[in-house]
Amino acid sequence: MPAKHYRAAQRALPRQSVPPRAAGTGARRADSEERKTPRGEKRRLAQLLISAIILLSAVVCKVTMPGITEQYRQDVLRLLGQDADFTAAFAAVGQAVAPGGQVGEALNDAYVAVFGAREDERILSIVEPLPEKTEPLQQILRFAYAAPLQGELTDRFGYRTDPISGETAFHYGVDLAADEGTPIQSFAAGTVTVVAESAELGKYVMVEHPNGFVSLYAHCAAAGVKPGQTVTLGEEIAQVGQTGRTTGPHLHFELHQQDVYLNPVYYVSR
Amino acid sequence: MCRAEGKTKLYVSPLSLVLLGAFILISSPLMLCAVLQAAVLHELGHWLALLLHGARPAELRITAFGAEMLLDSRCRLSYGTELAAVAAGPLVNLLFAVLLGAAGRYWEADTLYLFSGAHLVLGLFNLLPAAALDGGRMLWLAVSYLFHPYAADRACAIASAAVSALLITGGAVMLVRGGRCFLLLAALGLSFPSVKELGLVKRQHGG
Repeated sequence: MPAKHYRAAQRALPRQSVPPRAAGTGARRADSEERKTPRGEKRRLAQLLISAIILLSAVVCKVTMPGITEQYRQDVLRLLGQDADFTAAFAAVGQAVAPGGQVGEALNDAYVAVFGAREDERILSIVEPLPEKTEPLQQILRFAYAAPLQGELTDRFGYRTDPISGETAFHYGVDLAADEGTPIQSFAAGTVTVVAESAELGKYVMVEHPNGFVSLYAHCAAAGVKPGQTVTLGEEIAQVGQTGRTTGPHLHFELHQQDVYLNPVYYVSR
Repeated sequence: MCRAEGKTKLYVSPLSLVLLGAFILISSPLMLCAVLQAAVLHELGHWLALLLHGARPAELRITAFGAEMLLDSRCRLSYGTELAAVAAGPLVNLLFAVLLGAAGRYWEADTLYLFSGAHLVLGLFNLLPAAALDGGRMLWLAVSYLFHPYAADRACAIASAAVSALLITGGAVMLVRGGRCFLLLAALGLSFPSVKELGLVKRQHGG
């Protein structure tokens, strides 16, 4: 540590040139308050009393009239930052510094919380109303996640011309093209709830994550997990295939929150 | 040793109470707890560092711009000691951010992530090299030690003005493009001591 002494700085500087101190630092001198007069002190005490009453009133209002204060709170928050959700933003930032945390994803969540959801341009260009229980805007997941595989995004969430029937239909997930046999990794930590096969989805796996989120992986060649099995983020759960209604090997990936279909594009593409 | 005689005095500015009241009204109880615990632990970090160096604040001032600890005028701290005391607050915040983040991951608890985030935001914000923030004081101490206190005054004033200008510009852009004014309000609050600092330097050193 430097041996030079603070006293030197004190001597070199005129008294007022010592800059205001940072919160909590120790160098500002307490004797700067010696110019108090009894009248000034009285006025300060009166101001303090009024401020204390305002503070107490705020606490009393908050406790005894939660409905009214909540309404005003929402009005003020709208004025300050529209729909900025600072609680979610702080929580996302906290996730970023947690050991093993994924900084990019967490900061993305923080961005969404403060600045609002980014919008998938393709969804916005669609004239038709969205089907019920679909959410095109980005949601804050509040858990660590990663794309199930690195593949080309060949189809997005939203209306599209069905490659088999040629008709316009809503696509409830995203398609990621990859070679047959490419490992599919769990989107996040969770519990496998379904391992099944259907004509539409082929072999598919569903994994339940925290906060009511569920991920679905379809058209798999084979599943490597069983229902009830706990999986970690990035753990291999299946391989890419072309089972079910498909025109080539790819992963059809869906993300649900309770019974609402979310747009997974925000979480799988960079 | 520069232990203050008697008890540490407490000064609370009236405006700080009004701002606290406003914060209570507009924030959720959880957010209030998260911010307050981060602020209290930040100050305890400074306090503990001072105690470890045998110094005890003569006065704790809580103002609209945060809290500050004042030492007795006879108490002289070396650059190193003061730097350690100043850095202790943000360091405590960063330490708790990691610890609470790890606990949040272990117990999958959003509340712990929120508390961790509050520590991280407060710690990093305080490291900004602006007047009235720990980062500004650290910059002042470093430049003063390496060059001269006059140079430190100027460096601190310039850095404060630059940080304030950046934040105000960012806040204005955010207000115009997204209708969100919270950053602009925070930036204006922060620029207050920065302007004061610039004025002081101008008066003392002739610009």
